[in-house]
Amino acid sequence: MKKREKIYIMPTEYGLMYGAGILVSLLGGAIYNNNLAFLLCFFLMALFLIGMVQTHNNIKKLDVEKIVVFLSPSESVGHGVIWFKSHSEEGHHQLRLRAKSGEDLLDSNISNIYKKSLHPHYFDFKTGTWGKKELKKIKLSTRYPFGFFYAWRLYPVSVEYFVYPQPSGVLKLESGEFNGFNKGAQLQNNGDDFTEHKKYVVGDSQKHIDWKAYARGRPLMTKKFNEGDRQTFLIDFDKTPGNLERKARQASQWIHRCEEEQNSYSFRFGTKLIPASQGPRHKMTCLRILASMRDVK
Amino acid sequence: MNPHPNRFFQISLVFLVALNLIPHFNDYTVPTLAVGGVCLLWRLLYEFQYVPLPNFFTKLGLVICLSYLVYMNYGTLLGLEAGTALLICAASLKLVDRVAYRDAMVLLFLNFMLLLARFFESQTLGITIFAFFDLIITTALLVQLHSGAYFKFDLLTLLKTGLRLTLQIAPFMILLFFVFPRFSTQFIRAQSKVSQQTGLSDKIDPGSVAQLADNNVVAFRVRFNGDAPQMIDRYWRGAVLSTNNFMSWSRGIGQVSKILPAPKSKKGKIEQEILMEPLFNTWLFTLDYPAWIELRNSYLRSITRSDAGDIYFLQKPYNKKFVYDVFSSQQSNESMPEALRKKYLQAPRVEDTRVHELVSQIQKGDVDGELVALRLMKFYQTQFLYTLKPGKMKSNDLGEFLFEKKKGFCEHFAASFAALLRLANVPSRVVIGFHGGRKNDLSDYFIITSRDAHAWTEVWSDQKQQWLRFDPTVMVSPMRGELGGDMYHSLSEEELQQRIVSRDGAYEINLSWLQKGFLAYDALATNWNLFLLNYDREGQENFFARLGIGQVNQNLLLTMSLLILLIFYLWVRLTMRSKVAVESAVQNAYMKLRKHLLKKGLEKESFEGPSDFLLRCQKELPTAAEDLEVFRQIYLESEYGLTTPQGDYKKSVQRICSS
Repeated sequence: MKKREKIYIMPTEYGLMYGAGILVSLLGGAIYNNNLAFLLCFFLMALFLIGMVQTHNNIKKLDVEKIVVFLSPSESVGHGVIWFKSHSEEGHHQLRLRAKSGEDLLDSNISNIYKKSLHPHYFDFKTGTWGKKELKKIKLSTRYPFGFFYAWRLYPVSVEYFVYPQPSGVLKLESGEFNGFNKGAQLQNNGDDFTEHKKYVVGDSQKHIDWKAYARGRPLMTKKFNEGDRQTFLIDFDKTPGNLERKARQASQWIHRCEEEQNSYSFRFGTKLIPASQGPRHKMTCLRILASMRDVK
Repeated sequence: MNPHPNRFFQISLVFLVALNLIPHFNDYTVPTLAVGGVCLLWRLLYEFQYVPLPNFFTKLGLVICLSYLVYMNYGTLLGLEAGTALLICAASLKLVDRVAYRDAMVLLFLNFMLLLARFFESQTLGITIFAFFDLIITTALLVQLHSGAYFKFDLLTLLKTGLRLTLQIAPFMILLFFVFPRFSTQFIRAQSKVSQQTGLSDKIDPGSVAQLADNNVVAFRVRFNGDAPQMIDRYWRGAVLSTNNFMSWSRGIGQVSKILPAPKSKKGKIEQEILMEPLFNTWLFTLDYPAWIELRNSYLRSITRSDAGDIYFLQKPYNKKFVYDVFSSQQSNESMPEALRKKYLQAPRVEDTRVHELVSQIQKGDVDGELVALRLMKFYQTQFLYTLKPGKMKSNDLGEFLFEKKKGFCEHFAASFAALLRLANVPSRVVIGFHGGRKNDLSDYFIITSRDAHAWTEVWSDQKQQWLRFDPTVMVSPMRGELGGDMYHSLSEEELQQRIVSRDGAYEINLSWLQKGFLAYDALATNWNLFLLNYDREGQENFFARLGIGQVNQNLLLTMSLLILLIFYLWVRLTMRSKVAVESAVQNAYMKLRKHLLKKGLEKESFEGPSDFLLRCQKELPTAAEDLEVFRQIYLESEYGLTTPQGDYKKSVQRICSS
């Protein structure tokens, strides 16, 4: 099961420069019959070899345990986390993590991974166009400790992630009916129409958490109300005007707008309908569906 | 993204460059070093945010100006000295170029090259010790640079790292040093501009010298193979002056020839190994009377010539230390052909009647030079005073010195002595060289300094048919002869008087701890120099012969060197291998489980954590789902939890594997 670690190594431009230095010392020693030049040559030679072995070792015995790429906006900065598992007793220093998926570019430095540890590394990456994407391989490289050699290894991974469209559009959020954005039923919310408590799950709107109850020692609960003057909207993707790009950006903006104004919204795409709700989890579901409309794997 | 060097690193780098410029201080012109100093200061001010770095055009201007300056100084941009001057300029300008990773790497590289350039200039013990510490610092900074900008700058830890690495490398370096084949290439020669600081010229004009400078610079060191001769016989000849003009003497043109190879039998000869300093002209000093000399450096051998008067010299100046062997006899074997006799009798016409009277007194009808010279020696014993500050003479006349001035140093006495003998029809000449030397008991060799510089006379004896040495200075100042120049001039007048009175024969000076320290260092440095200079192709062959290995050819040595390189590489890999961490029992069980699950087509994906993977396996293998869940819980607690996991996971794994 244990695959052989494929580590590639080659001299850097500085390594070549120092290599030339070794050659100069050797020639100088021979031409001028200079024994100290020989000693310097052997010193640089040894440093070169130690550098090669240490650079190689710095990247050895290091596995990628897990990668999670968070839902991110297009043409912006995305985030993710990668867990490295070190099986080495030496630790790893000054690593560079790189990956590319379409226009998305990940380039991040890792200062230290302690020996025999599980190291989570949170990274940022530059996102390109929106869509459903896949990270197929990541490259981990190092020049530590002397910069004479550049060692790298490729980790084949298969991580699916979503980049949703950048919110933009000219259509305003109004409580009237217009293209793709329908006013839902209006219900009363007079402040006394609390109906029940519901156990809080991550992604629920934090606005409805019953903090008083929590302060009394009860678990985190969200309060459910009869819908009052709050509006519920339907974001109907198919009815949104424009081409796919414009539609997607407009829908993305409406989702964000609804979330900002804490309005419930449902999202319809073809025959698929996400029931009306509100909160980070709902937002993520909608944006992920929106992103998956374009497969750019 | 390359690591960006932090400020502490930058300042350390500035100091490292400054450190590497120090050994070049003596050899390079003031403008070159001044540029270095200005750039260092500029960079330091930049680091403390007082000034910005120069713009592109300023830098371009500096590059052009410095290249021109070097060209003006050395007449070329190639060659060792011009190259080193350019290297100094490059390192200086790089300091004020940019402060990125790339620049730091280039500067560290230039430091190695500056050190190499220094080695080409000198291979002294001091430079070796300097290089050792310099390499520790350079290596430490190299590691620091690649540890990232936020890596704590701890000088002590860094130096420890550098020292550890250097010591780790040292055995390999030493082994390879002895084994790596030495080639004696003759393709390129050091075209160096000789900076002669002091030395002996090929003429003397004592009348024009008011005061002899008392500088004490080592001229050469001598180690005798066997018993060293007594002080009275420790005369090292350099040049022979045969053209006379009253008190002035200069070198006549002789028959210059190549040196002959040394005969196999060296029996009865006084064997010396001389470590020559690069400051004393081109003369190869040899103990009286040299039979032949051997130069170990093939290049030097090719430019060595001999001339009448048993003298040896280099055709071109050589500004580095070098070693040669001399084999001397007790007496001169030089003959006196009739054609040469005239040359050794040449003298200007002297009008002074006092001189003629003196000549006739010492001549007394004798024709043999030895007897005449002995009579003249008695005259010198009573009439003169030895001093290094005789004052200038009004003229170059013999009479003025012999009958009016009556004081001087060795050149006055030798010049007048030989001139008088020529007037008495005795072939004579002046020899300049060294007499004396101070023994370093710690390593059994003699140090000959500029204070030992001396001039004496040689007289041809028709009876013995050989040149005889006569030193009139010894007659004037016996202490100078008995103590040697270095010791004599280092004593005060009072000390000299005391010794004359006591006459105890013990001329050893009580050395201070500082002098003892200097002698100890000198012994160490001399041995180191001799070792480095002698370990060439021939030295290497001798070394292996002493080890009992016998004759080893260059190909074998090259193969051995490559083998050592390979062994070192394997040793480094072995000692520095990335050791696999000892995993916990649960982790081992997990790895075993993964191996088993892989056989069933379930491979952990890279985006999955162990928990996700085991949950997926539960779905894929419903029959083993319960055991997988038990193991998952135990694994999560063991690897990420805070408590010791409870439960028999081994049985669960066993059941999964056997299912």
